[in-house]
Amino acid sequence: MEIACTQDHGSMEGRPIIREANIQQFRKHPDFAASSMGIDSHFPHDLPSKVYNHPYESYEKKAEEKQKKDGTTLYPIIKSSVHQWAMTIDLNACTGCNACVVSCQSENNIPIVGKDQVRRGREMHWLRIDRYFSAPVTVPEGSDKGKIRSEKNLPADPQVSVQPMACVHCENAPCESVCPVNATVHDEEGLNLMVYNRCVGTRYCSNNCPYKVRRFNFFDYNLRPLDSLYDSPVMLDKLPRRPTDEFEIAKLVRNPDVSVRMRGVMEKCTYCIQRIEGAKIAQKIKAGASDAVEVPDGVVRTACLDACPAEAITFGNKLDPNSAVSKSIKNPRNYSVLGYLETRARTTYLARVRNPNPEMPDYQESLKSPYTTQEYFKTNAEDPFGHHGHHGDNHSDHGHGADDNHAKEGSH
Amino acid sequence: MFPSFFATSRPTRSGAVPLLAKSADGRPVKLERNPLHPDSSGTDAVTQASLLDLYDPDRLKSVMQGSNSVTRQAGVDGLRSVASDLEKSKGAGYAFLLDSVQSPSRDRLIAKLRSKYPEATWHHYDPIQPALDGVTHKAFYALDKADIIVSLGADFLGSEAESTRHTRDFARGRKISSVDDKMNRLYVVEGPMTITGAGADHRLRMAPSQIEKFAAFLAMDIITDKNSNAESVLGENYAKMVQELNSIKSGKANEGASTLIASWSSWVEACKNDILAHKGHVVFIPGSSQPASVHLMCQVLNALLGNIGTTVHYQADEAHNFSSIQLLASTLQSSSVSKLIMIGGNPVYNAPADLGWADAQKKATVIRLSDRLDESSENVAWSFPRSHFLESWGDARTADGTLAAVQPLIAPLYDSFTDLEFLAILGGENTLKPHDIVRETFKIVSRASDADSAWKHFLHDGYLKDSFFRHSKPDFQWASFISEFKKVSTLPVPGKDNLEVVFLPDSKVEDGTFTNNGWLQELPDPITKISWDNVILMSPATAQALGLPPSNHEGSTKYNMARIIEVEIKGRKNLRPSLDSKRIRRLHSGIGHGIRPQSLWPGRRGNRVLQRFRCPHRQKFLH
Amino acid sequence: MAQDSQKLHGLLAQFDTPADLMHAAEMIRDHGYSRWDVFSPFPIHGMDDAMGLKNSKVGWFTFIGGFTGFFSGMGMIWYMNEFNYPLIVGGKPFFSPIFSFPVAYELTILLGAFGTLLGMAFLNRLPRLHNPLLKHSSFKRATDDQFFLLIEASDAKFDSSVTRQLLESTHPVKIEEVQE
Repeated sequence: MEIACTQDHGSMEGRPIIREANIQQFRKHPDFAASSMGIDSHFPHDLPSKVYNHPYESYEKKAEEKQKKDGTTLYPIIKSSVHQWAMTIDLNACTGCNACVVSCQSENNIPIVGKDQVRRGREMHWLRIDRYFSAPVTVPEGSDKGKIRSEKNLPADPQVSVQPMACVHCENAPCESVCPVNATVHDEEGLNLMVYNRCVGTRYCSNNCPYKVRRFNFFDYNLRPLDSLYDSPVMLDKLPRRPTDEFEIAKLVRNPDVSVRMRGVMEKCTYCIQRIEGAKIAQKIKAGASDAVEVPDGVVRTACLDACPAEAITFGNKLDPNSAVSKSIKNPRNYSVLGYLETRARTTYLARVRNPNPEMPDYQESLKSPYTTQEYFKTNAEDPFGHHGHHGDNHSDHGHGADDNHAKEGSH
Repeated sequence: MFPSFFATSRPTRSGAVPLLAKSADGRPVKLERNPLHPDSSGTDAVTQASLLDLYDPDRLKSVMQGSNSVTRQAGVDGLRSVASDLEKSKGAGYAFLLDSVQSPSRDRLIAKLRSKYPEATWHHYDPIQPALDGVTHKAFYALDKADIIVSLGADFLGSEAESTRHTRDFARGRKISSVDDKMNRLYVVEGPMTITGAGADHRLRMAPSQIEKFAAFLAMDIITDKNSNAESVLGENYAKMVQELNSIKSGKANEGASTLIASWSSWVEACKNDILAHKGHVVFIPGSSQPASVHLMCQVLNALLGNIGTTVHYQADEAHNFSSIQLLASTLQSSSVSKLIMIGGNPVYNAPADLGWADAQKKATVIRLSDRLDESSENVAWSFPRSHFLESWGDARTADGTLAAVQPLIAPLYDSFTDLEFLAILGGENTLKPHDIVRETFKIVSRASDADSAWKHFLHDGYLKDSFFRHSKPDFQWASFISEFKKVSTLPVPGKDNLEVVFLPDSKVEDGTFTNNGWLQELPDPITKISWDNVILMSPATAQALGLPPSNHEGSTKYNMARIIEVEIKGRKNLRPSLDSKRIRRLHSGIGHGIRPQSLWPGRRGNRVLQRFRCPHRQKFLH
Repeated sequence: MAQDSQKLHGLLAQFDTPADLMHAAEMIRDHGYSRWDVFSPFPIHGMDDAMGLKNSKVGWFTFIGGFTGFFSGMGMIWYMNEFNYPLIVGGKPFFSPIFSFPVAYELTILLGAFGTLLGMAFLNRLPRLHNPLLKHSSFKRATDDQFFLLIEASDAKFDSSVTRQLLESTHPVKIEEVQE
C-alpha cells in the first residue's frame, strides 16, 4: 500500500545544509558555521570585482551621492533606505512541531491537495520542515564494513535535526532570472515577489530554485473538490456533488487579505507581505505629514513567527541595527544555507549547538561532533574543528584527506 | 476595512490556549497568540487548525430527534422535558458522560446539577488523559529555570499538555549567542521517537513499559548517593522507599530485567552525576501515559533535589468526583442506567474495545451534544449540535489557573448549543444565555468591586489578571508513596515473541477528534513525515527479528510502500488483510493504566486506523 | 502637331543592331544626359560602361536601416529597463549590451532589409503604375528584334530639336516621340 510521505530524501549530499556542533566545540570556535563549514567558508574575504554590480549596490551609491548633493531621493527607488526585511530561524529552538506550517496555511489560503497529490509531491505547504536522521558514519562490522550506510544495518539510535525551509528571498534569486514572462521580480525592500496574474505556469522558476520552496497549483485545488481533480470541466457538472452551500461554508475560512490562487500559477512564501503592507500603511497613517514611516521593530509578525511556540523565528528590518533580527544576524552561529551559490538569501539560520554530557556512554570521544558534522567531515575530507578549523584565515588547506590525526583538537 | 482582533481562548483538555482571533468581514479568519497573556507562547498546530473546524461542512447543523431534523425550539423543548423528568426522579436512572474541558462555568453548572439531581451518576472519559489513582498533585513546570531536564517518557514538547509553554521555556534555555551563554541539557528516556526525543541531548531508547524500571533505577541511584541528602528529607521513610524502588527496578523478579538494567548502568551513573551537580535546577518530568509510580518517583526526586519552587510547582489536584466509563458500561449493561446524556466525545469510536460500548449504548436512551454525526450517533434519541469555541460564549482556565475568556467571533452558524446552555436547560436554570452564565461565574471568581469595568477588561485582555493558582509548598506524604510503590506490578521485558504494542495519540488528529480536519491530516508527521495516513511503526531490528524484509526490496522502484501486516491483540485483529500474515501474539495489552488496545474502525469519514501502533524499539518509517 | 497638346515623355530611337545601340549609348553618355535608358531583347555586354552607370546607391539605405535598427533596439531596452520601469530580476543589472543584443540584432536585420527593399524601390522610382512606353506601338519590338534608346523629356538637357539632332547623328532606324 502506498503511503503519502512528504520527505523521502534524507541526505544532505555532503553539503552542510544543517550545521551543528557540540557546545564544547562552539565555545572554541563560535563562528564555526560560517567560517569552517561549507564552500562559502573558503571564499577569500576580498573577492575580486565582479562582472556586474547588483542593482541594489549601484543604486545605493548613486542615491548616496544625490543625497549628499541636494538632499533629495533618487527616483525610482530601487533599494529602500527605510526597510530591508530579513529573517533568521534558530535551529537550537525549533523542535519541528509544525505549528508554523498550519499557521502559514491558515493565513495564506493554502489549499489542501489530498493524499494522491501528496504522494506525487504536490503538497502546497509554503513552509516545510526538513527532518534529517544522522547516525555514526560507517558500518563498523559485517559484510558492509566501510560503507556509510547499509540496508542491513539501519541505525538504531539516530540523531534528528530539523530545519524549517520556506522561500529565503534571495537577492540574487535564481528563480527570477529564468521566468520567461517576468512573473517574479524583486521589490525595493528585499522581498522576492510573485505576480500571480502574470504567471503562465512554465515552472522554470521552481526548477531553478536551489531550496525547492516554490509550489505549483496543478489542479485548481482551491476550487475543485479533491476527488475530481482530473476531470474535465464538462464532467464537473455531471458528477454527484455535495450541496453548494455546504462548500460555500468551507470558503469562509479564507483570509480576505490574501489572494486565492488559480491553477497553473506558482506560489511561495511572501514574508506575509499583506502584514508588512498593513503595518506600513498603519505607520504612514500614524506618521501623517512627518517622515516617521519606519515600522517599529516587532510590529510585523509573520504568521509562522507568531505561531512558533519556541520563538525560533525572528523577522524584522535589517537596516535597523537595534532590531531583533539584526542582532540575530550578528550571532556567531548565523549562516546561510547553500550560501556558496551567492544567492544572498535574506533568511539565514542559526546553527544548532547540542549540549551533550562528555561523561555519558553515547558521547563519542574520538570524534566529539554531532553525527551530521561527522558525516560532513567524512564526505568533504576536512574537519571543521581540527587545527585548520578557521578556514577564513588560510586558503591553502583543502583536501588534506580523512586523516584521523587531524581530528584531535590541539594536536599542533 | 481593517480587520479587528478579539481575545478569546481555545478550551482544551488540559488548559485553555489564549488566543487573539482576527476577524475580517465579520468572521474569524486567523488565530494568533494573545500577547497580553503572560503564559502566551505561540500556538500549536492543532489550535491553528481548529479554525477550519468551525467551517467544516460536515458539522451537525440542526437538532436531530432520531433521524429527523427538527427546529432549535423543538430541541429546547425536548431538553426541558428531560429536565423536568430529571427533577421528578432526582436523576435516578440517568447518567452523564462528559469529555474533558477545563471550564469554571461548566463546573459550576455541573455542581448545581449534581446537587439538584443527586441520584444521577457522573462519568468522564478521555482516551488520552488517563486518570491516575495515587497521584494527588499536579505539576506545573518552569523549564526556563532548569539547567537539566530529565524526561521519563514525557513528550512535553509535543503531545503532552502545555506543550507550547514548555517549548517556549525550553527554547529560552537553548538559544545562545556567545561563548559565555549557558545552555540547558535534556535527557530523554522514551519508547517511540517523539519530537522531545528528537531534540534531546541524550536519548535512551526503551520499551515504554520498562521506563518504570528505569525510573526506579535512577531514583534509587540518586537517593542512595551521599550528595543528595535524601535521608534528611525522607526521614524514617528512607529505607522503606529505597527497598520498594529496588524491587521495582529489579522488575519484581521478571526475567530479562537484570540484563536490561546492566545495560543502563553507565547511562544512569553519568546522568546522576550531572543531576547532582545541578541541584535545585533540575526537573524530572514523567510522561502522562506512564503509571502512577513514575509520577510519584518524579515527585520524590523533585522534592529531594530542591527543585520545587524553582523548576516545578505542585498543586494539589482537585477531586473531580467523576466515575469511569467502565463503571458506566456496566451500569448500562445491567440497565440500572437507562438514560444517558453525553457531551462531546465519541466513545463508540474510542472507548476501550473490551467494554463493548456500542452495545451498551444501544440499551439506553441517549441524548447527545456533539459537533457532528459520527459513530456514536447511531440509534441516539436526540443529537444536539455543539457550538465551536469560536462561535460561543464561555470561559476556561489556562494551565496555571488564570481565568480565560472564550468570546464568540461570529454568530452561531447553525442551530447549535454550547455546553453551558445545554447544561443550564437541563438544570432548569433561569440564566440560559451562555454570556450571562459566564458573567455570573466571572463575578464569583473575580470578586471585583466595579463589575462592569472589570468585565470589559476581562473581555479585552482575554483573561483575568492575578487569577492564577497560588502555589504552596506541597505536603508530600512519603508513607503514601511507599504504599503506592508496593502496589506496582511490573511488566515483563518485551521480546520477539511477546511484542509490546504502544498506542499513542497522534500528533495531528489526537484521539481521532480531528480526522475531518484537512489541514491536520495533510500535515506531515514531524518524525515520519507521513501525511493522510496512519501506519504501524516498528524498528528495523524488530522487523528483521520477525522476518519482515523492508517493503521496497526486491528491486522495487516504488518508494513509500508500506507492507500491510495483521496485528492480533487478545484475539482482536485489525481489519486489514495482510500480505504475509504473521500472527503476533501478545501477553499484555499496551501499557495498561488507562490506555487499552482499541479495535479499528474504518470511520465514517473514510479514514482508517486512527490510533498508531508502535513497537517500542527505535522505529523508522516503514519503507 | 496634334500630339503636342499631350505631354511629351521623351524621344525614342530605334536601332537594328546592338552595336548601333552601344555606339548611340556612348554618344548620349558623352553628351551628359542623365535620364535616359536603353531597351533590348537580351542583355548586351558592356552596356553598363557604355551608359556610364555607377554602383547602386541601395547600400546606403541598407546601412542607415541597420544602424537605426541596432541603436533603437539597444535604446528601447535601455529606456524600458533602466530609465522608465526598472525591475530587479535576479540581481541582474538593469541594462547590459549582452542581453539586449538579440533584440538589437533582430532590429538591425529587419530595418536593414526594409532599407534595402524600400531604397531599391525609391531609387527605381517605384511604385510606378504605368509606363508610357508600353502604349507606344513600335515599342513592342523591344522584346523581339529591335533595340531602343529613350531620352526622357524630364532630363535637364532635353531640348526637342537638339536632342533630336543628337539622336539622328547616331543613325537610328527611326526616331519617334513618346507621349505620356
